[in-house]
Amino acid sequence: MKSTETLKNPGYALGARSEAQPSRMTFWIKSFKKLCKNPLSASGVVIVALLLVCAIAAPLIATHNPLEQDLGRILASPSLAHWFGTDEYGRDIFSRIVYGSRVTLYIIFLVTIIVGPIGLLIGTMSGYFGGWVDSVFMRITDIFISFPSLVLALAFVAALGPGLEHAVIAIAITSWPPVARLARAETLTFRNSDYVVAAQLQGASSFRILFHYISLMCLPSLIVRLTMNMATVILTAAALGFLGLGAQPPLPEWGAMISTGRSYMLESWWLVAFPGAAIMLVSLAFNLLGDGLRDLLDPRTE
Amino acid sequence: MIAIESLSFDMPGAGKSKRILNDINIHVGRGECFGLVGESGSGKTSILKCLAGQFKGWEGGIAVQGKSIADTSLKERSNTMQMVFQDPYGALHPRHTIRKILNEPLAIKGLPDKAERIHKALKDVGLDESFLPRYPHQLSGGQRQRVAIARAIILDPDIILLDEPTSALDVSVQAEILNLLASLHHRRQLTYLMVSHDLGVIAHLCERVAVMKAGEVVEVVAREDLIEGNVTHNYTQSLLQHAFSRE
Repeated sequence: MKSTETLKNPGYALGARSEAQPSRMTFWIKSFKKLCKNPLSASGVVIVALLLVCAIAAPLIATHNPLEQDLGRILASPSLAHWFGTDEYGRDIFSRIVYGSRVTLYIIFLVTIIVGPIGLLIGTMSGYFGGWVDSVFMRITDIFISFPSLVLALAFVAALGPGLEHAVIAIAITSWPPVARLARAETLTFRNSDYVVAAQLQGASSFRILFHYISLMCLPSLIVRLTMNMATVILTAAALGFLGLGAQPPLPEWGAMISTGRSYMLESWWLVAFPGAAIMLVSLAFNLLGDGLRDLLDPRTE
Repeated sequence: MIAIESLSFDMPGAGKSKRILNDINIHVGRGECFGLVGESGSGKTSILKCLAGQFKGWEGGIAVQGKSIADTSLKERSNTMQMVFQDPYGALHPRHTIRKILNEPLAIKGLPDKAERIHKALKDVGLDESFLPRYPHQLSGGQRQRVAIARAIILDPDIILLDEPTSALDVSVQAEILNLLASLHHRRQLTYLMVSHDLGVIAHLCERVAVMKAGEVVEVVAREDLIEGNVTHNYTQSLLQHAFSRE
């Protein structure tokens, strides 16, 4: 018995295959083009790309050593030699901001790879199994959600001691609950779908269904959520740095730069303005990118 | 092959539960094609869901090949019983390729010769291997239903549960799928338990039909009697009249 499609169109099975199913590469290029069509998300892409370039090529872009003090040129206003001016120890602010992008990306990356899997695992498990598993996981999530996240992060850093890694752990602990909730809500919509029932009838184990079926369906909205989350992570990291609990001097962290620049703010505005602008720009970029990704990935908007 | 004895099921709801199956008795023999007809809400699909393990907490007895399904897990039953769903759009995972969809049951069972088995199942449902790297959304409804049937037969089950397998398809495609199901029935000696609200579909494929109304089986009729109008119960007669008046 031949399929009717093959009968109607003999070239269907032989010739036109490459046309019918684009390769993975062209799929990515197509998605990227679609993402860049919207000017807002395109600007998000550009800024995030710039941040990546800054972090990777920091030694090439920076005009000075970010840690080198020059006490003869303290609090110099922006000029050709020092584009963004110098701080209270005569360090070049532009170079410090460029190197600071490494710290920011490091925090974002670590928090995301901690929060993503934890949120996905807890959310899909409580959504799929339901019953007491759901109750236990969701009550734990409720407890974490009911704390103001900055206060909880402060408490963790205070307990663990200040430092970049501890700030990362503190931020991760405060930011997984919304991700878990999202994954649970998504799971609830898929757990009774026919393909999951079919997998159960084939004898698939619960963990196979969770990893091969349900997680795949949760991933798009989770990626969007995590991208939006990155903006919050940057702000929390900056806030912790500002309070002196995140990155420790002399590490060029943007929040810490604002914190130390605060004392000279009235006479030397560039100490605060440039790191502040960097934080604002990057968190805005991640929000725009997240919006763009939602348009691209979320099946409900198609 | 399938013996359902005094099956009752209460759908648990807020406050009080609602009885949706009441004292169902059905026996399906080996190699038989048995139909369930009735209007929406009469409990046809609920019987399949009890068999497929989706509804738990039913009363009575369901035995498949002489073994009560209350004692066997879904995994043990997967070699004897598979299901084809009503909606070909929801039955296949949207982010799995056809290859992955057909490979999954073999991987779960750890069977050898995966490529050969996939090839054979695809051939049996009238598709070729060019479909393997595609995603379900690149296929038409009829093709998807063929893939769903291929997935159901790839483990060589004895019984296939058919939950309105053609009602979401175009009339011309319906006929193709019905013919495919009929030829598989003969070639593979399958036992079908088929749910439909379409008497024409049932009469085409099934040897015996149970007519259901409000959670009860009102009558079990043979195909010949159904075609000739040899039915006793009022409800079956009115169903027949409606079916004919439409044509």
